Amino acid sequence: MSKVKPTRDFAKIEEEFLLEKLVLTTKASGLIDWLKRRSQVNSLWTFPFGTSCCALEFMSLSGETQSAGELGADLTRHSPERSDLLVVGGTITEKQAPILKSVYEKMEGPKWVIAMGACAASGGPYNTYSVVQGVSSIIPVDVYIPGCPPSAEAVIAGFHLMKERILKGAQRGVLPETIEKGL
Amino acid sequence: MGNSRELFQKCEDQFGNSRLTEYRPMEWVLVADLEKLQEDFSFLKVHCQFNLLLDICGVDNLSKKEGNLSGKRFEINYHILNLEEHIRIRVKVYLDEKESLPSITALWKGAEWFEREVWDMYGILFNGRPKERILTHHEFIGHPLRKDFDPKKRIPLSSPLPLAPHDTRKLRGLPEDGHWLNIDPSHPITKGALRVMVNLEGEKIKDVLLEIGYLHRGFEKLCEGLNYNQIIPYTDRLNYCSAALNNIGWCKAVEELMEIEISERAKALRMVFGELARVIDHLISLGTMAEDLGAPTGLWFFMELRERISKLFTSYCGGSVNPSLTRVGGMSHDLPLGWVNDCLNTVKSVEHSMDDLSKMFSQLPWWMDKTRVCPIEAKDAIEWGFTGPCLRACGINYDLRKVSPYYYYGDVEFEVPLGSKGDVYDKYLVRMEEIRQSLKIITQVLDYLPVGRLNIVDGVSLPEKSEVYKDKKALDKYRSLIRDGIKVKPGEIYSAIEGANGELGFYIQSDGGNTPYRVKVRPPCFPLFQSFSEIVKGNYLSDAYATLVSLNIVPGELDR
Ligand code: SF4
Repeated sequence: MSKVKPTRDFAKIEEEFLLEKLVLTTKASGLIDWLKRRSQVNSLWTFPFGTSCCALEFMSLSGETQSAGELGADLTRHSPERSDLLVVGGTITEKQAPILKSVYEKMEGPKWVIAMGACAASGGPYNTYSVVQGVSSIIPVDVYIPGCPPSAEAVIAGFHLMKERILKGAQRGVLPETIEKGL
Repeated sequence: MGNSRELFQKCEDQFGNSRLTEYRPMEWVLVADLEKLQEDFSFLKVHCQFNLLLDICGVDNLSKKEGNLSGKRFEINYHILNLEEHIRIRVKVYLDEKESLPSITALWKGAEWFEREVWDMYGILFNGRPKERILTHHEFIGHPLRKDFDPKKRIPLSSPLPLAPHDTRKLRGLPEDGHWLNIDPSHPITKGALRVMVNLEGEKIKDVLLEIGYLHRGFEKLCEGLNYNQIIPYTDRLNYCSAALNNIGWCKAVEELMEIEISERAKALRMVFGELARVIDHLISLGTMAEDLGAPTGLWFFMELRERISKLFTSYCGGSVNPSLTRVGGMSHDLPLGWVNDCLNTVKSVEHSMDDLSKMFSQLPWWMDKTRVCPIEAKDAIEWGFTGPCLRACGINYDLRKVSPYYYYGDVEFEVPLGSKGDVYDKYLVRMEEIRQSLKIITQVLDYLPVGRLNIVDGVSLPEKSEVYKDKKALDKYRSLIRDGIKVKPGEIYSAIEGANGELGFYIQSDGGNTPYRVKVRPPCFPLFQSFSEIVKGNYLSDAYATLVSLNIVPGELDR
């Protein structure tokens, strides 16, 4: 058996790129931004905008078996100014819509929105005169969680997705240019 | 029974036998004249003790198939209950678009919101009552339950109703000054869909304005385009805390309209699931009560119990919040293996934990301090149209499961807990005890659970899957039932069960097709919440919070 000779000398390559490996070059603002995102992800303050059946499911999520604490999002705050993640769970009617909008507007950025359940996503089973067909017509939504009501597992998966998005700096409510500028 | 015959005679003498009929035992119909309506109502209330107004329901006769007998476009049905004899009467009155009805708020305080709803939904005016919307928003145009209203037409709202609007204040004779506090639907105490505006003088409440309709999803309009079985999932979402009870109430109403008898096993199972749902509802209401009154950990104790019972629903049908477990003519399917055992175990463990919880709360001085507030007198409760635990907390022994037993409620042993003052503490105690009684019912039913096939009604229940695969006839039957749905003969019915919050009634009108012509829910929360402003007047704001949670308002059912 002939010995296979490596086509490239790895040791050499490592030497070549050593500088890049040990030294991180970035803008100061970039570093701060990275730190900011990390901290945001680990302490999300949630505003639960629950109106109906989905709210009940959301409530039981923080019950015994499934803990929202694992998600790092167990701090629910019922004041929009102090929260950065809005969870819309339940049917939003035309009458409710301006209130939801004002809650979203009161939240200070950066802010994210999860639409939980079929009703919040698209009006769900209610295609009627009084129900808003999806909250995305009122406020920007980052993550949709399907289900009527979504199972606890789905909600947890939704939260994980949300966190991933936050880490990557993706945010629906803010246009890409403004993200750049803000950095 | 003798008394009821006498009463019928008395009414017959007054109204004449052409106008008054007994269409089912203990359920009468009176066709009234528009001119003499007020007179008839005062006779019924003052001389015949029809003292609890259950519901006012409008119907638009525009597209009735068999033609409109009265020749008038609208009909209004008043459902009134005689609490002593347990007789329900439906007063029917026909009127045209231009005509208006007399307002009956002088006789029954609780009529106000119902009348507002009729105007909102049908555009029928009541004399002396302004045009005030209740379920739809203030910029809405049109009357959604009219048959010529397009169900998909949406009118967006530009801005929420201002805080204590000027014209409403003028209407109610409220003072211009004073400090108004807004409790928005996004406030945790309002559970997402109520708005309470309070006028304060120091810490005391001077006036309260209520705004509802934030969860008005158009259930009744939706029903007009759906099969009878397709409606079941929507009934889940009325009172989502005890969804199974809504399923049962709906199916029972349809079955009574079709005059079909379901199997013994189905009846027993409905009782079991109904009681489990009642327990869950009470647990949620007690838990939120504990949380909102300052014992946040209390919520977790109650929710943990709820979780245990939810598991029973999940193992039966896969979901716990919205189970949709009944079908017209029976249940969706039979129990899984070992379910009865699980259920009995759970019942035992919950019973045990209830004792602990009761020790924890019932004797606690601060809990008593906080909850011995806002008493309600029995006569006021009747006047407002209270039913269920809130009525029983005022000391009135009225439970549909006892007074007009359906299924096997006549055969099981249980007690009806009563309060005396009707304050928050009494409501708490009544709910605690009702949980125990419900658990008692469940064990009794499960001990004697009838065996045999579950869904046996011919032409209504789906044939068994195993038959469908083998037999051509069964396959055809299956197909036609799925495709066309059940046909229900023309007629109307008001059927009620004891829901977790009170009398949950369904009024159905059918014109012979496979979709109902009109469906009206009698939501127990509606009269309860209406009384809120009067109960809390003159009390402290924190007491108002306690009262609000003790009434257990479920917005899904309140606004439909
Ligand atoms: S999605 Fe389903 S469970 Fe959630 S609020 Fe809507 S109807 Fe209720």
